Amino acid sequence: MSKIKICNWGGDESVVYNIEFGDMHLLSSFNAELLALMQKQTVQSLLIEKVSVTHGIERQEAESYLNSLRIEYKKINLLD
Amino acid sequence: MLDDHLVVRFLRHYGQGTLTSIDFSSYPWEILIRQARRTNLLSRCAFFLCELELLDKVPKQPRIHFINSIKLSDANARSAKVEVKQIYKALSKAKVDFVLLKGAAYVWAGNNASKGRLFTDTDILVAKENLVIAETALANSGWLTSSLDVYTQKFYREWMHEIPPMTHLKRQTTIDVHHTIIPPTSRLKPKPIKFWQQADAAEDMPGLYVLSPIDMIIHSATHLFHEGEFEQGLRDISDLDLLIREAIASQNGWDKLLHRAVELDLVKPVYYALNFTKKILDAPIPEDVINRAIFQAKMSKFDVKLMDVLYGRALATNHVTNKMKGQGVARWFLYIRSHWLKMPVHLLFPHLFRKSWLNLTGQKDH
Amino acid sequence: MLVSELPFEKINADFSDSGLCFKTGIFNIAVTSNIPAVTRHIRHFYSHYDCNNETDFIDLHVEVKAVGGYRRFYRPQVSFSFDGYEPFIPLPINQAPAMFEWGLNWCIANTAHHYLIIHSAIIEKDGYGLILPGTPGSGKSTLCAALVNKGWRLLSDEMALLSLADGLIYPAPRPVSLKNKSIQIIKDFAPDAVFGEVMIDTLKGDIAHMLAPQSALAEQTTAVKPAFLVFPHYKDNAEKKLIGLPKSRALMTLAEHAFNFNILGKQGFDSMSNMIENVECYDFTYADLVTALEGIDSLIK
Repeated sequence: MSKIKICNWGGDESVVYNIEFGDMHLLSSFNAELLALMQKQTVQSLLIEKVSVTHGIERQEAESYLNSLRIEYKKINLLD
Repeated sequence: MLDDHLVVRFLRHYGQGTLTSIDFSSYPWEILIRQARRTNLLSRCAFFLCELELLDKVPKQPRIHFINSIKLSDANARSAKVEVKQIYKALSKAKVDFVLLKGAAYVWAGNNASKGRLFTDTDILVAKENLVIAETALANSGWLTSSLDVYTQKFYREWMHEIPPMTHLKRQTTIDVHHTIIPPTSRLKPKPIKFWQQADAAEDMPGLYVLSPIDMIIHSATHLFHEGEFEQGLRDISDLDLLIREAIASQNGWDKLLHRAVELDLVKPVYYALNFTKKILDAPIPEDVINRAIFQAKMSKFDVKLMDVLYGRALATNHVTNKMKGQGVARWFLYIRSHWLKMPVHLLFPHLFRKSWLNLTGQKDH
Repeated sequence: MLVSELPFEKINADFSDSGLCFKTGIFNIAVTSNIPAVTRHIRHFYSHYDCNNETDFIDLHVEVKAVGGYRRFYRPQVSFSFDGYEPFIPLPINQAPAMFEWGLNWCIANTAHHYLIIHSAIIEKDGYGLILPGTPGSGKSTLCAALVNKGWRLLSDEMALLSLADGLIYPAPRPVSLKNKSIQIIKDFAPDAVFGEVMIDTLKGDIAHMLAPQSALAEQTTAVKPAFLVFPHYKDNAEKKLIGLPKSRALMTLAEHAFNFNILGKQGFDSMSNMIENVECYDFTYADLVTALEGIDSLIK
């Protein structure tokens, strides 16, 4: 069972609800999408690919972006 | 006396396995709900009905109240688990082991006393030498000591030897950090290390413990009958009833309980727990176990009688008898007038009792 | 039978010993009180409410009583209790009717978990439900009072009861509570509106209640489908502005207005996000009631 619910109504922002903790976060829709992929244990290389393509940045930069995102998500209990 | 109490009878029915035999269509649900709400037992009653798949038999209007109260205790359990995880995060980083106590422990252990249990604070026990480290670790994770005045702070730290309750900045949840089982100022002095030694380690979370089932009974008894925390009297008796029925199934179990109570120097509260859980909720406790507890607590016949009368009186006081006439006129008279809730503390402490003898015998409805 | 049809003595007797029962929406309420101002308040504001039969199930028993003790001689106070539990500290006795209303709100918000309970006014016109959440100073109650005097139906000025079962909002009509300047503003705006005594200097300033319009009672069992979610912002001299609000933002904000959002957990989130999905969301800035009314009415045209 998924631990989060994501609501997106087509805008740039999505609402992420943490089912276990009962709190809500407003994220950019792209970051919310990444979160959903992280939760599904998507392989890192695919995530890097996605970030570098979408943001038009180097793979290395994309990787560090993903890493800091992961740290933030862990802090607010969106990832274990 | 207490038998007249609908919520007590309801709990007894559950214990005896006869809840299925009540007349669901004509049962005075409104009165039960009011009494149960009053005693903080509504979600427990609801849980019992739900567990036995009897909710559908309850008429719609009361059923809604039961279902809603289950949502409340579910939310309580959910947030307690989140809270424990957060505390664990903070304390394991600081390498501080801790034991969960009371409500949070029941929920974490998933024992019967967690059924429909409502509570607000999370109580934890840490070793005395870790107290300062624990406080710092928790403060770094967002739990702040409530803004108490200097006097109250001093009271806590010097007299209670405890950290004042800490409240989480964002979640507004409160932790009570203890380092002893009962306040160090009290007469009985059980050694906390003895509780630690038999505590059960939680799965997959090294450093997190709950008390052993027997110690949970003793701790709960001590809280109720020694510290005189009677605001939740009937709820606590119900906890004890559930804990006792779950943990003790054989003669061997009773021996262990009494042995342990002696070892911890807490026989007296255990005697009261056994005695009143049996008297009030008909917990299946053999007479000889109670007699042995009396003997080991070194209580005279007079003491025993006195306490029985005392509690009986205290319980009968202010208690408007429930006339089970259903909904009409009875509705207004049936209603509990505080009994547990407003029971003056002096009624509950044997060592304070003698002084207030005169007061007590002249006890009036008030 | 209506409360007003009870014999006069019966009302008083009921108040002091057995309680007076009335229905609001789906709730059966019993109230006891030994305070004359509360009796007057109930007789004034609840006389057209249905009484319950002796055999009806009562959902909430509340008591508003003068606090005993020596204080009653020099600083009389009132306490509110719900089956013996007192959620508030006692207040000066002149606030007794307000305390009754606040207390009843508290009871509903803390027990009716078959609804997601949103702190907002909820009104209806032509079948369209309009939710006006209550940020402090937004003028939610004033706007609500104005609208229900001009053709909108009042469901509640304090809480929207969003059913978890069917996504509809259920009414629980009660008198509308107005504060400070709003009292006179509404008296001027709707001279026919019926008010009670003004309670001076309560926790929330001066307070007066306005009688719930007849339409609110007539349709108190008719639930509505939420159609609009409008966050009102009262601003002196501002130009009227109705601006679409992204649903994500609306959801984040509205969750803070739901009393029992945490208690309901995922179920609460699901029903709130479903509702947001199906309503139009706006921020609405206004400076006066006449243009505010035009703005709100334009939504349903």
